[in-house]
Amino acid sequence: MAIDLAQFHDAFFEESFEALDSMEAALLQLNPGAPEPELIGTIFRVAHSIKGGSATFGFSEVASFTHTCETLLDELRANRMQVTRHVTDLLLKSVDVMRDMLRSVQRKEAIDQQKVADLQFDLELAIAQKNQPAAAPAPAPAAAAPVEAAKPAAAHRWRIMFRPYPQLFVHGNDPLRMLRELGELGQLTVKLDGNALPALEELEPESCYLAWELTLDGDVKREAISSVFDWAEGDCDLEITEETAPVAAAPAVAPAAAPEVKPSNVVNIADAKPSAEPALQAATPAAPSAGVEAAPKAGQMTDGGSIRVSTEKIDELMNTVGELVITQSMLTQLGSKFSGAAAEQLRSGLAALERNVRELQESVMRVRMLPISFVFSRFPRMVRDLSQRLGKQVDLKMTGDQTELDKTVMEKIGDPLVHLVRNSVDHGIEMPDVRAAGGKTPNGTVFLNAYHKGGSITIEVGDDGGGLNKERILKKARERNLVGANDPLSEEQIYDLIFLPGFSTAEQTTDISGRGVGMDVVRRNIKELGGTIEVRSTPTKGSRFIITLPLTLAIVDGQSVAVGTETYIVPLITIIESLQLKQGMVNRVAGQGEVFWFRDAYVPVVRLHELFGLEPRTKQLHEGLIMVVEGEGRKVGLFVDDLLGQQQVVIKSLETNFRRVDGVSGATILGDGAVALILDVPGLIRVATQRMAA
Amino acid sequence: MTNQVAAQIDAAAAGSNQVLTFTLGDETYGVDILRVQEIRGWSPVTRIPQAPSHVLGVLNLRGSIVPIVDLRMRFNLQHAEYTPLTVIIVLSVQSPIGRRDFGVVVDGVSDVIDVAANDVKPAPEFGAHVSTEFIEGLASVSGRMVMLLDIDQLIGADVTGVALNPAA
Repeated sequence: MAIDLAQFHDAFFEESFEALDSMEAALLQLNPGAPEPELIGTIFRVAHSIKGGSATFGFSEVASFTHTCETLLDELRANRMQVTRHVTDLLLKSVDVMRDMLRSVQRKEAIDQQKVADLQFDLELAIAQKNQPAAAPAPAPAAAAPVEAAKPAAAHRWRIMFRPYPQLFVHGNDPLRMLRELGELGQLTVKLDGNALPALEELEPESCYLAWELTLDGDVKREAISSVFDWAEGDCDLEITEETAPVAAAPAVAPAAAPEVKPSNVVNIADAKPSAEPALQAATPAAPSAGVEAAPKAGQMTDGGSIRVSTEKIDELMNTVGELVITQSMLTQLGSKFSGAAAEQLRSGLAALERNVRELQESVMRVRMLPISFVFSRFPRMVRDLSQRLGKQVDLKMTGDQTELDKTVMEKIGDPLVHLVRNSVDHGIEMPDVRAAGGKTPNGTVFLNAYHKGGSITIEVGDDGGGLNKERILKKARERNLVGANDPLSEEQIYDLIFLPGFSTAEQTTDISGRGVGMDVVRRNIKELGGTIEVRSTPTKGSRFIITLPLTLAIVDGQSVAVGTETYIVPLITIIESLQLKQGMVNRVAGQGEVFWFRDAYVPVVRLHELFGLEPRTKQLHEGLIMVVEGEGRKVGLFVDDLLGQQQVVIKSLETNFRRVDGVSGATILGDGAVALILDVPGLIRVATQRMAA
Repeated sequence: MTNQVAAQIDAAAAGSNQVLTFTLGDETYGVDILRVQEIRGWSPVTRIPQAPSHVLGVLNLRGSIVPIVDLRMRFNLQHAEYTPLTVIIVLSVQSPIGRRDFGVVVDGVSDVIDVAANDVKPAPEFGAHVSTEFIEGLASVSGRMVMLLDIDQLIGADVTGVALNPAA
């Protein structure tokens, strides 16, 4: 039977990318010198499953490279090699290379062979050099010594209780293979415990009823034994105990070393596994699965009982719920028209419906929400690489990474955040000697903080570096004629200048970033999401960028306005003020454009009815209303007939069945089932300006 | 009854299509029934700025926003008042950027007929002033002439803003 493996490719890629992310995270946590065996285990499993997967699918280049990685990791896992900074760097690079390779394979592009080969060579070199610790660039920490001393270890006797759960086979584990592997490690004595075996007629052929009591003699480390059972974690009770007395045969091998071996071995394990593992060392029969339990717990963090659902399905669900909301509000309107005894019941029923529908809508909304850690997770690596390159010492502190926001918002906020974090590391944090001279710790701190506030999410990116340089910003802005030479500006206004287009300067650009370079782009991206960004800065204390974003792009707070018979929705965030003009407040410019004085500037009037070709209720400016709106830094007064009310509306795309319309960002369905268009204020201002120019 | 069913089966075997016919003034048009999503009564639409004049606006069709095209205006026929009897046929077009739903305003829906493939004759060329590129063919059904519309050609470019390849 031929199975088309291609159908599994997507799932493989998706899983592999996720696995690489977790491998990267684990690598970053890895302490050189005193690595956590569990972390190494995680990293090893990622490499192993990618190798297995790519070999299955015939991605031989990926498989070959991953194999080398795996070999190196195996050395680390077996403690035959030290975790040094050099090795972690190599492995981090390997993560990048594996990611690139998988991406190339996914897009059916050619793999960058040279890069792969170079790194593969480096990895092989590192493996080959493992026996010369002196050759490693990083000095081996003191804690490593006992490990080396333990190497010429003599025989131990291990007693292993292996009690698989019935579902062991279902997960693809084969006890026979495990026993065989143990047999390769040393002298293995196997005792079968078949007590659980049911009568033949009750026997499920796919369940495992057997248990084993194993005795292993030989020069074997606990890690080597537990690694045999790596894949069966969670599918069995496992108990590994060391017999206290060395085996009688052992002294023949290394009689002098034998007495020393045990204590040093204890030190080794206690060093390496400071928290969870001592329990395993002490393993008593009363706590049979203590050692095995620890690992699945760590694994749960990453997949807490979740399923993968395509976003289309969720969008469909959102649509249906949107419908339900509209139908419900239609019913509520209708219900208010009834009278009599039954009407009261009807209305209370409708009120309950309204509540349920609202809850349903909120739950569906939450399905789309993901913790912001999806974005934050890339920063530890980035900050580490950047600070290394710049010769700075930077700590990254992230808080609130479980704060949730909509997936679409998340996808679009990544780049601006990267930009801000890069800026903080590159320009915010000073060099260690400068910091020391200023009485600060040599380690700078970049912090990321996310939290919910009302109906929006706030993300702060800050550093404890030098802060923005007010004088330099002002000087540059004046040079570039962004402000007049004598404009009085408050501190806040000066800091705001960095967001102006055209503030960026070439002289500042490094290969990483320039403070001010592209800040206008950052602000534009955030505005496109309906958010805002502010900057606070204190000289020598550091600066902080505060981003506020809506939780979702599916809903907008809007003001409904009437023009003629039509209703339009204006996003609240764009509205500055609504006012009524009195006769004589409007001036004409060159007999054409109408302007009025608003706060401290002349603002042009845009007649929405002219722009959209409608018949308004009134053409007299003083009879309608002016809504001052702002888009891309420009203000206009939008002339409308009337304001109707504020409401949250569900945004629907016009492009699903139609095409893009200038000045309109989408549509929504009102309570009476009619469609209202949502205005795209920046687009509207552009269209109006073009019309005026024409 | 059974004869009728048998006749339909025969017709299907002979390579026929079921066609929904509708009227615009005195003329009868037909569209492939498989393209018809829904037939509904007229209700006021929301206007779309800067749209071609025959795109009247958009309607809420069970939660999706669907543009409505006036076929009389599209064919440069005399404009008729919209009454509660005016009908909107919701159709789906295949465009290079995927499926699009839209509604056409017509005077009235007639019935569903079977059109055998060899009953369809190509539309004659009238010269430049009568465009026939969206007429798939002419069929004569019980003495009436039915103009079969190629709606992908007719509406596709209006609705999507993407010109269709005439050869497609």
